[in-house]
Amino acid sequence: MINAKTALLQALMTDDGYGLELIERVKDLTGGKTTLGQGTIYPALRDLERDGFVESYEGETVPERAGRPRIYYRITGEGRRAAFEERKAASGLFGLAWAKLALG
Amino acid sequence: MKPLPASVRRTLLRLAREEIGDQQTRLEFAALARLRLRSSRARLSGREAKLVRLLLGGHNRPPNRDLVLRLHRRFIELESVAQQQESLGRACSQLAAAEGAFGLLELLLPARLRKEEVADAREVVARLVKCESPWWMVLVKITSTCFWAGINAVRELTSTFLHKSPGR
Repeated sequence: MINAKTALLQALMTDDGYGLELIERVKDLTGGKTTLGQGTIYPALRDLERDGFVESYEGETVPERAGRPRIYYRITGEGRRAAFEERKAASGLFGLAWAKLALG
Repeated sequence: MKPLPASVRRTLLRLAREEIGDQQTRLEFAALARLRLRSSRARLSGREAKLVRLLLGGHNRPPNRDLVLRLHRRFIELESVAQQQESLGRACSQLAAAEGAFGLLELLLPARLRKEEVADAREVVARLVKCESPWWMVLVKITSTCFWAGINAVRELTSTFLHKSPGR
């Protein structure tokens, strides 16, 4: 249900992370309701980077990666603003829907 | 009656082959085989059963307890080595298969995807191998990586082209 870019922006609000770590983080944050796959996460991250919401940098090298460094993503100021706006919009939407439901 | 695991059977045969020449050890091995058969209620293959019958034949005296215990310890030791070797061999072949597939894939992909998607997939495969996951899980990961990395490479190319085009 949750858009991959929205989920990634929210996940990156807490800390920087790389692909595999972000898959786990999104899964944990949504209580297992949202699982991002390889086909979704990498294009979404690259799109976010192109739009200036995140920036990437090279992290540590581990032997399991055949000497290649992990590519970490960090949220930018613009990304934080976008994440905040999305959060506000979602809580407004849900607040209104639940209020209408409560009033009958 | 459950069959003996393959590694145990191999160890049993190896022990038998090693010890068969010596009359005293034959007695000990017979006692050991009896002990193992009684404790595990295991069913042996035709060749093993023949071997055990041969070893047991005509040796019904009570065995030397210390020697049986020593042999039993050695058996357990060899059994664990055989299991380790088996799992190491499996891990090596899984890693080699992944390495072959990812190596080929890397020839076709742009640097960014090599560094990120393929390297992440390598890390996942290493984790799967480390926790002794079945073959099919590793195979699924390799196949899905090849598929999605291919799709993402096309997406990336299209997106780069669209971002560079003057009309946009």
